[in-house]
This record gives sequence, C-alpha cells and structure tokens, in this order.
Amino acid sequence: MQIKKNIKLVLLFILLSIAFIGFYISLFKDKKVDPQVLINKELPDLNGKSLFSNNNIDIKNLNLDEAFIINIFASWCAPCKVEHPFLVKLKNQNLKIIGINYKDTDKNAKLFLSKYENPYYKVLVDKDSELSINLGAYGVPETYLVNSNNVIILKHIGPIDENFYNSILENK
Amino acid sequence: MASNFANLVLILSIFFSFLSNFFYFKNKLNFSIKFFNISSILSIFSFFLLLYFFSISEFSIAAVYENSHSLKPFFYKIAGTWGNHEGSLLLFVIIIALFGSLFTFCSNKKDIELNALVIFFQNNIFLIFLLFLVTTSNPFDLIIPRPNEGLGLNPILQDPLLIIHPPMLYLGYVGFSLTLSLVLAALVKKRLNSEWAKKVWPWVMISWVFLTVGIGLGSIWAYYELGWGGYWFWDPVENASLMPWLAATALIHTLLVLKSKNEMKNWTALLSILTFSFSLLGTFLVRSGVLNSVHAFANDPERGVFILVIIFLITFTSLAIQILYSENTKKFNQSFFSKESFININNLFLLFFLFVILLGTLYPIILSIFNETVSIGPVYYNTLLAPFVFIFLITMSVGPLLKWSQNINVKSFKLLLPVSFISIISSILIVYLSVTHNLIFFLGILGSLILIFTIIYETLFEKKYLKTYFSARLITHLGVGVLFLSIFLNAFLSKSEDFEIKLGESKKVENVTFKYMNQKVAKLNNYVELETTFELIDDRYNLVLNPSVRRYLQPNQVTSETSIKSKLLSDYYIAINFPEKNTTSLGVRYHFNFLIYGIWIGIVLMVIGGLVSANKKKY
Repeated sequence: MQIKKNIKLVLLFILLSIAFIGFYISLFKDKKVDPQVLINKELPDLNGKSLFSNNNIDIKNLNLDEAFIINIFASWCAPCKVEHPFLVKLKNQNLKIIGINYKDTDKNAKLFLSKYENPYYKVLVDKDSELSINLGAYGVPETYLVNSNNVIILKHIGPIDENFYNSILENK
Repeated sequence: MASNFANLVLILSIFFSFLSNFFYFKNKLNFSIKFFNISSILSIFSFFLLLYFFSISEFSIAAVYENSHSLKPFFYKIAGTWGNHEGSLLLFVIIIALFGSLFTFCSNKKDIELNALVIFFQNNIFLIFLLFLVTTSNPFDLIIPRPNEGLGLNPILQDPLLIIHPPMLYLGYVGFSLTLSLVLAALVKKRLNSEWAKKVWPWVMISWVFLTVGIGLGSIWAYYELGWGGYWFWDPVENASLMPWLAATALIHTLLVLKSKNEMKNWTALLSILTFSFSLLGTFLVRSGVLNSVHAFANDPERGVFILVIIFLITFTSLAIQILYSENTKKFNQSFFSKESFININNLFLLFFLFVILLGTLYPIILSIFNETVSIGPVYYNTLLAPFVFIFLITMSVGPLLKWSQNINVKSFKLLLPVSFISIISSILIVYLSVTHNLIFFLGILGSLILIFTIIYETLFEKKYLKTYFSARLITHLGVGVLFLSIFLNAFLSKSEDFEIKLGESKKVENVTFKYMNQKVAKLNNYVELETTFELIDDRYNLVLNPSVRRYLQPNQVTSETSIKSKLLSDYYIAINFPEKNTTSLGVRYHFNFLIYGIWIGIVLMVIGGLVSANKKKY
C-alpha cells in the first residue's frame, strides 16, 4: 500500500513539474508574441486577398525597393480615424503604405476609404486576423516601418502621433 | 510617514501569522487561533489604510500615484484601491484572512482539534500570499519626492459595476481557500464524513454564490458598458473564472452524496483541491501577462513566476496530503437509476466542460512554447460544448427525481411523460416560428424546456418540496434551465450590423430603418462626451436611442456608452464611434439581441437558490 502511495506521489510531482515548466517557459517565451520582438527581424510572409481586386497580394513580392509602411486598420476603429491625417501626410511624402484591413467587411472598408482620402498603396483583407497575428499585432491600429530589405525597423501600437510620425521620417 | 506606518502594520501582520504557526506546533491551539485572528485584523486594517490613502489622494504612496488622479470623482478614487495589481492583491490576501476569521467565530468551539488545523492551513495560505505581496507588489512603496499629481485610473474601469465586479470574483475565488483548508484538515484528522460535509456546506455555497455573482456582473458589464454587443466572449480571463465555477459546482454535488450517503470522499477532496487550484490558475492567467487579453492587467513575468511557484506549492502539498491520508474506500454498489449515479454522470460532464475550456485557454500557451501562434475563438467552444448540453440538461432533470441507491422509481417517471410531451411540442413550435432549422438549436431548447417544465411540475404537484431544502435546488436548477434556454435563443435569433450614417440621414438595414436625428457635445470634468439621438423603426416598434462616446483626458482613451432599449423579448442596441473632426458621419454598430434578460434572470435565480441553500440550518 505504502509503495502504491509513493508511486502516486512521484507521478503527481512529475506531472505538476511538467505543467510548471511549461508555464514557466511560456511566461518568458511570451515575448515571442510581444510585438517588439519582430523589430530588426525580417518581415514574415504576408499574403492575402486585395480589397479592391480579386488578386492575391504578397507583400514581399511587391518589390518596392524602398522603405514602406504597413498599417493595420478597420472601419469600425475610432482611433484609426484619429491617425488618418498622419497617414495622408505620409503618403504625400511619397511613402508607400500597405493597409491591412483587420476583421472588417469589404463594404464598410471601401466606404471608409472612399469617404476619407485613401492613403494606401495596396490594401490586404484580413478577416480572420491571420495576417495581423503573424505580424505580432495586439489590435488596431498598428503601424510598422519596413526597409527595402524587408526588415521591420519601427513599430507603433495605437494611433500614430507626432513623435512616431517624426521618427518614421527620420528612419525611412 | 504614511508609507512607514502602513508597512509596519503589514510586517506586524506577518509576525503574528508566524507566531500562530509557532503555537500550533507547540500544540497551544487556542493561542494559534488567536494570533491568526490578530494577524488577520492587522491585514484588514492595512487595507482600510490603503482605502484612506486613495480617498485623500496621498501620492507619496506608489499605488495611489500610479492609479489615481486628483480630478477623479471621489467614488472612483475609492474604487482605484482595488483597480490595480497591488491593491487587488492586498484585497485577495485580506479575503483569505476574513474567511479564516469568520470561520473561527462561526464554528463549533468545542471541536478545537479540527478547527485549529483548519486555521493552520488557512494561515499558511494567507502567509504565502502576504509574503508575495510584501516582496513583489507592496502597495505602500514610498515615492520621494511626493508627486503633485497621479497618473490616473484606466477610464474603462470607471464604471459602478466594475467597483463590485472584481471584489465579488475575489470573494468567490478566495473563499474556496477555506474549503481547501477544511478538506486538508479533515483528511489529516480522518474526519471526511457526512458531519464534515454539513460543516463545510455553507462556506462552499457562499463562495459559489460570490463567484456566480462575480461572473454575472462581468458579463453584464461587457454587455452594457464595453459595447461589444454580447454577454460572453470566451476570453481567456472569462474562462479563468468559469473553470473554478465548474469545479465548485461539481464539488457541491459530491458534497450532497457525502452528506447523505457518506460516499464519494476522494471525489470531494479532489474537487475541493481542484476548485482552489483553478482559482489560483485564474489569478495567474490574469496577473502574469502570459495571455494577451483585453483583461490582462500587468505584464510582469517576475510576478508570474512567484504566482506559479505558489500554485505549484499549494497544489502539490494538497494533492500529496490527499494521497497520503486518503482512506481506502470500498467500491459501493450503485444502480444506474439512482440519484448518486446521475450526480456522477453530470459531474463527469462538468469536468468535461472544464477540460474543454482548459484546453482552449491553455492551447495557445502550449503552442507558444513551440513558437506557434493560434487564436481560439467561440467556434471551438460552441462546437465542442453545445451538443453535450442536451444530455447534461436531461440528466439534470431526471436525477433529482430518483432516490438514493435505489433502482427505478416508477412514480417519478410518470411525470416525465407529460413534461416531455409539452416540451417537445413547445420546442417544435419555437423552431417552426423562428424559422431556424438547426438540430443543435432544437436540442438545446428541448433540454432547457424539459428541465424547466419538470421543475414547474414538481413545484405544483410535489408539495413537500416547497417546505424543505429541496426548494434551493428547485430555484437554482430553474435558473440553469432559464439560462440555457436564453443562451440558445439568443445565439440563434440575434442579429448585428455595422454601417456609417450622416447627421439627418436615414438608412434601411434589412427590416429596420435608422434615422440619425441629433447630436450634442458636452464637456465634463474628466472627459468630453458626444451624445447622439437615433430613431429606429421596425415592424413593431418606433424607438429613440441615445448612444454616446467619451474621450477621456487622463489618460487619453475613448470609450463607448452604448444605448440599449429593451422590449419584452429583445434588446435594440446601438454603439457609436468618435467621428472624425469636421465630418458628421458616424460609424454605427447595431445589435438586435434576443432574450438577454433571460440570461440575467437565470443567473439571479441561481444566486437566490445558492443563498437559500447556504442559509439552511437543517439538512
């Protein structure tokens, strides 16, 4: 009887230890989904349907040969409207902006872009948020500056503000 | 000064807690209990100190500086006390103490052997968290020089409901620490029996009631305040509170068997331990930042490691005590059609639900170890859980009609015939009228109706139930029936739509016409509010709704105040976005929500039943 109990105890200890180690690793591994980690790393493959045509767009294959911006947005997102003037200003500085339309309906997204000025060079549809997750995004809006070698240089969570706008212009 | 005094109180509390342990080992049981109570009172006093510092905006205290602001309304200054990591952890700690002390006042003084051991375990759980508080998250840390202004409280947390939601959840979570202490003491003293089950019953019920209220309030808050248009989102943090609830619900049912039959001792012990462990896991998931969720508070892996170690320590010690001290129980004879066998079946279902939710919550964490990301949504939970709810509800209807140990009770089965007949007819009618031809929908409605009609039948024709303790069960189970009926109707009959609209414009979406009538901008103390007026016309109603958005100044954040008009069976719900400057066009989210009231009524019934049950003098 005593032996049986000891075996149970050891099993319990092993099981709980595995759970402990799992949680422990994930606690620090968590940085992985932390958006900052992708900084100075190569852009992941982002491939999705275009909002305005039926073609697929692969961001890396656009061959932009210059620094560009990726902006995650949605028509239902209030802060996206707040940052909109900055996106237009960036576009007017001849920066190409690729939009990722996050969990939105095509109809509303088009309405949004026709009502305000469309700052985007291309827009990818991201209904199931797969693209945004691959980018390590927390939510909308988020903005990334990517250099000509497809390496992410900057990232910003929340609407673009004066500071981030300026650092984009410095780093492009 | 303020900081030093409060720290002194906390340190004294720790000292007396150690003293309580010391006297327990010296076998001076009375002293051990007394010193625990002193320590408990000191910790509770420190919480009131923190409340006071928040109310006078004493910014030399770190927690106050980081989470309050002199412009906050007084009400929310108070709420700021537990609206942050440090303060809420202090609340967590004092609730452990409070339950321990209440136990010493309410329990039979003669049974000091058992009581002292219960308090010994409770004291050590208390001590572990108190040490965690002081070493990693001391709310009374001093800031020099004293800042003139605080950093503000998250505006989304500025809501009356949110002032009571977290404390309710905590009272539930932490209340189960006493259940754990009681189980461990009973295991060690070999006193896990029917008498013990009666002793522990009110404590389990009261914690269960708090947890139910906490989950319910969270749900109400999400619906009315967050503007998400629903009441449950399978968010990891919501799941974290549902898991201990499911374990506790199973525990309550094994306690019934233990009370009446002196059986299922190992199950009772295991479920008590699981309930508190899952409560701790919930705390870990919310506090460590291991999950990304709207609820996630602090992203601090250091604290996460501490909580993890504490969970490991408490769970391992408890389960080890169960293994070492559990008695060999004979396999008892039970026939399939007996009350305990049906309780067993539904407990297995509850554990299955728990497992599905656990897997859904932890799977993204497990994958993250292997550098994969995945997001698990409602589809997973609904697909896996919904089909089984039918059997669960049927078992729940039939089980209480059966007798302990005996096989088939013909009389009870007679009532099932008319009940099933009425339920099937009603379900077919509902499915036909709602034009929603879906098997899961039909079964869900059918199961809920059978449960509801069985209870109505029992109440009408089995008069003895009204007088005795069965009434608690009737109310709670009726609540569950109403809850599931509403969930199924809501899930299949609600609609939602997003669109843009200009001031003065009319828009027709399906059978509803919206007119954006009016808007008004108001500047208040700490936010700017845009108030709007919408007219909404459908086949039956002509409604005016006033959704608004607020932009808070400190910190800069936008929140949406939804406008909800409730009619007999359904809610019309509009939320708006802050518009771009110089435009009159608004983003509108419209929801047509069916029978949301039923969900709240179901929860309220469960709570009332729980309170009736906790209050009973006789079993």
